[in-house]
Amino acid sequence: MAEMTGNPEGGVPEGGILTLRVARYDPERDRAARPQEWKVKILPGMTVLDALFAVKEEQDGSLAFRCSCRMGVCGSCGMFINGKPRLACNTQVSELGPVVEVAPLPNHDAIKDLVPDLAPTFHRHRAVLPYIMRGDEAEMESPTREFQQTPEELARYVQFTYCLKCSLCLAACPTVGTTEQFLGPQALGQVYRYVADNRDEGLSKRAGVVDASHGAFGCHLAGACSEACPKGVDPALAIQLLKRSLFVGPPHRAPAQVVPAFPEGYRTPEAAERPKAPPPSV
Amino acid sequence: MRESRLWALHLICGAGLLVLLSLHMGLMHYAGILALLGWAREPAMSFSSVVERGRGAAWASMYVLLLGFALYHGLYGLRGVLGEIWGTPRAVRFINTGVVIFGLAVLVYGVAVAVQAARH
Ligand code: SF4
Ligand code: FES
Repeated sequence: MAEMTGNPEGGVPEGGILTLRVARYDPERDRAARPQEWKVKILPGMTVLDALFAVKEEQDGSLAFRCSCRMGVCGSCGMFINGKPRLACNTQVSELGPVVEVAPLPNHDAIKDLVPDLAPTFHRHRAVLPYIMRGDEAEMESPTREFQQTPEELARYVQFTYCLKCSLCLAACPTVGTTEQFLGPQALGQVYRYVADNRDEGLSKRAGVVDASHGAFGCHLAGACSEACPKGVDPALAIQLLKRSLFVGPPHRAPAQVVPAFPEGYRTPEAAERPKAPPPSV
Repeated sequence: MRESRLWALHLICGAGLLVLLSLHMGLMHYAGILALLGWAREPAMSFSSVVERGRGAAWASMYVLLLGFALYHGLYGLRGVLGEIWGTPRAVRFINTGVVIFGLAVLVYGVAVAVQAARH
């Protein structure tokens, strides 16, 4: 990829002109990325994604990038913006300075221009069995009622459920950059999300994948993943808690039980107070 | 073996090394401080001290332990570094086998030397 110089971040007023410098890459034409620049007028509340759309709609329709929700929820607009992995829809251009440099996520292959290949991220994610696994398979497959969970038990893992699978943490992780086999912060963070969930009993099954030198123990604790995460998930913490769980077991002692069924014909007090539906008139 | 157990062993060996190396430094290099604490001994490098250390079973066991801790701790680290450079499953198997064979060979040789010395 052509080298792109960083620029000190400083505010630019609305109505000003922004230089958008993008790493272009077309696999059919280019052997490496080449920078291309456009000028864009800064509008109120303009995000980097808005600026890219302005270029695509008004100046160069061939520019490729990926997005979906445009509100920091789907995780598909991850890019390397002014030297940091960020969500383009979540980054205001006015905070970045007169020159905004955009490149595809590091530690990922580029499919075209700013579109990273996220398939390895999803493969890693799938490899760690990211779903609730129980011993009582019959109940899990055809649940009779919900599993019991207190707010305290939810609090143990809830922050890790906010993961968007945007891959920014993988883009920031130095170990992912140097060690191809490393599972990476996203997948490992999600392992802990399930391990800490008291409805889950899958630690021993997942241990086959993550209790390995390229699993949880491959983490060098650089902490760059947690810094990059746009949702405040702390994958570095999750990996350390996962290591502890691999030694001493999950943080919950017993798996959550199924909520006991009410006796036949039981109605909650509120239900008893609710007015009955009138008899059918037809 | 699971990585968590290998890693735990690595930490235990690190702690063991710390204890044994402190002991070594105290006995061999800071005899003056030990004397100040009221534990006066023969100079560490005197002929009789060297012979005594070579002969005693306690010393031999300590040397073997020190060798074992250092070997495991160091080779575990080396395996980690090599595994990150050549991470393919085949390379990892090769590195693991090489490290175990090398470690065992050095350990056996070291134990033989310590036992041999203790017997004379
Ligand atoms: S942990 Fe954060 S940075 Fe990593 S994939 Fe999830 S949301 Fe993105
Ligand atoms: S477009 Fe969905 S997170 Fe940015």
